[in-house]
Amino acid sequence: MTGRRHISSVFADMASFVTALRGLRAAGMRDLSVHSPAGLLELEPLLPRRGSPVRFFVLLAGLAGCLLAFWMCIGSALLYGLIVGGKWPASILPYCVIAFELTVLLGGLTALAAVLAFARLRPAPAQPPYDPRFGEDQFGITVYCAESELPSVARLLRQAGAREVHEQRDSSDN
Amino acid sequence: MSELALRDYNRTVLGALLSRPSRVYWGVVALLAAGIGWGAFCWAYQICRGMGVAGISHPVGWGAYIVNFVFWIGIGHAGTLISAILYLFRVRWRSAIYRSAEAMTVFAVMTAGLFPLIHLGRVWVFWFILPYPNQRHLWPSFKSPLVWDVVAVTTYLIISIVFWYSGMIPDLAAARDAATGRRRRVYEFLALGWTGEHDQWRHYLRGYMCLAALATPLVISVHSVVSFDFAMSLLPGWHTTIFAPYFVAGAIHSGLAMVILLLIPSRRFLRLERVIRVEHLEQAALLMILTGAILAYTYLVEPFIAWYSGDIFERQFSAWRALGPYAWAYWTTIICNVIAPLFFLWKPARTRLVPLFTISLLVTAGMWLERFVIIVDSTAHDFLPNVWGHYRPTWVEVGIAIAALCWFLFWFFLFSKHLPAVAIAESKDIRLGQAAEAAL
Repeated sequence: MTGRRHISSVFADMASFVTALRGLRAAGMRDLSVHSPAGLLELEPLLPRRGSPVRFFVLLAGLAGCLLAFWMCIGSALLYGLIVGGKWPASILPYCVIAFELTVLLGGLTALAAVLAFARLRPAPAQPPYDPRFGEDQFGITVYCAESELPSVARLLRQAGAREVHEQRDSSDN
Repeated sequence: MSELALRDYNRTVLGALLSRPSRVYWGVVALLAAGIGWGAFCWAYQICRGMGVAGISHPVGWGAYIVNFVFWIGIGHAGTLISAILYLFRVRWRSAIYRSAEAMTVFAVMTAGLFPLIHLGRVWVFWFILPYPNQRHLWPSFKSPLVWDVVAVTTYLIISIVFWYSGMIPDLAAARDAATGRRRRVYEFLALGWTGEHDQWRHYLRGYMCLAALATPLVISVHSVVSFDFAMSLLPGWHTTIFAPYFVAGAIHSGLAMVILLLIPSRRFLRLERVIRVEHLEQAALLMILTGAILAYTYLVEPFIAWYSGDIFERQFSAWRALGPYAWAYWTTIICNVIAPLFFLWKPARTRLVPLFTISLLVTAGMWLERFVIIVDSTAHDFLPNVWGHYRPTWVEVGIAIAALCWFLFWFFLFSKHLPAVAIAESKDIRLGQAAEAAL
C-alpha cells in the first residue's frame, strides 16, 4: 500500500502561517487545504490554486441579460405592431434602461450561483478538516502527501510554528 | 478605545446575536406589529370604500403614497452605497456598519414596494404592469418610465438581497459554530457548509467583487429611473435634466441619515459599541456634508434655470413653490437638508451621539418633505390656473405612512437580533490583510 495520508496543523499567528506556506511551496507540496478566518488574496502566490472562473460566468450572464432584454422589448413591440408617425415600432434608446437592469440582474444572480457551484456550497454541516477555531482567529493547513513524506512535512510545520500537528490516515486508504 | 482581538469580534457580535432577547425587545416588536396591523386596516378600508378615502384627487393624483415610495427607495440607497461603492474603493470603515446598512436597504425597498401597490387601488390587478405575454399580445410598454421603474426596483431588491446574503455567509458559519440547538440548525442551513477553506474564499471574494461592481451602477441607476417617472413628464418643476443626480444625491443623503438613526440605538442595545464606534458614525456624517452640498447645488440650480430659461410656467411655478401655501415645506426642506448637516463641519457635532442623532432626524424629516414638495407642488400648480388645486393627506394615508415605518422597523428589529449585525469576517480581513502583507 502506498499509504496516502494527511497532516492537519493549526497556527495561531499570521507570521508562522506564512512561513509554513512558504516552506510547503519550497518543498513542492501542492495538495493543500488552507483555512483562514478571512479571505486572504494576498497569500495567493503561495497557494497552489489561484483565480476563479466566477467572473467569466458573470460576464457571460450579463451579456445574455442585455441581449434578452433587447429581444423581449423589441419582440413585444413588433408583436404589437402599432405604427406611430411612420416610425419603426421598436425604440432602442428607452430599451437601454431595461437592458441595463437585466444585465445587472442576470449577472448578479449568476455571481451567486457561480460562487455556490465552484465553492461547492450547499446546506450541509461543515466537513473536516474544518475546525471552528478557523472561524475565529486560527489558521489551518492540511497537507495531503505520501506516507514517506510525513515526517518531513510534520517537521516543516512544527518548525514554522504550528500550535498543533495531527497526522491522520485518509478513510479511503484501508 | 483599544482595538479588538480577532476572537473578540466573534464574541461581541455573536454574543449579541445569541443572547436571549429581553422582554423590552419583544414588547417593541409587538408594538411594531400592532402598527403594521393598523396599516393593514387602513389599506383594507381603502380597498372596501374606494380611493376616495385618500386625499389624492384631481389635480393632485400623486400624493402621500408616491411621496412615501420615493422616500423609502431613497432610504434604501445608502446601504448599497456603503456596501458596494465603499467596498470597491477599499474604504475600511465600512466593515462595521455595512451589514446593518444593507439590511436597511432590503427592508426599505420592501417598504417602498408596498406603495405603488397601495396607490393602484385595485391591487389585485397589479400584474398588469409585469411583462407577461397575454393572449392579446398587449405587453407593457417598455418605453414607459413606470415600467422602467418596476424593472429597476425589482432588480434592486433582488440584487440587494443577494449581496446582503452572500456577504453574510462566512458570518453565518461563525454563528453556526457558536450556536446550539434549533438555532444552530438554522444557521447551518444558511451557512451552506462554509469552512473558510481557501478554495471557497477565492471564488467567494471574486463573486462578491462582481456583485459590488454590478451593484454600484445599479445604485445610481435605480434612483435615476425613479426620477425619470417625473422628469419624463412635461410638468413645471418635474421636466428637468437635473433630476437624476438630484434624486441620487438626495437618496444617499437620507439613507446615510437613516443609517445613523438606526445604528445609534442598536449599537447600544446590542452592546456593539466596541465594534460600531463613533468614528464610523463620524465618517457617515462627513459623507452627509458632501451629499448635502450636492443637494444645495441642485436647490440653487432649480430656480436659476427657471429664471434663465425664460419659461414663464417654470418661473411662476418656482415663485409659487417658494412663496405659496407649501412654502413652509420648501423652506423646511432647505433648512433640514442643507443647513442642518453643515453643523457636522464642527467636530463635536459629528462625534457626539445627541447632535448626530438630532441632525440625522432632521435630515430624514427634511428628505420626506423634499419628496412632498417635488411631487405635490408640481401636480397642484401646473400650467393653467383653472386646474390648480390643493392636497392634504387623510387619516388613511397618514395611517399607512406610520404603518410603513413600523413595517420597516419591525424587520430591522428582527434582523438585528437574529442575524450577524456586523461583518465579522470582513472586520478581520482588514487586520489580517495588513498582517499578511507584513509577513510577505
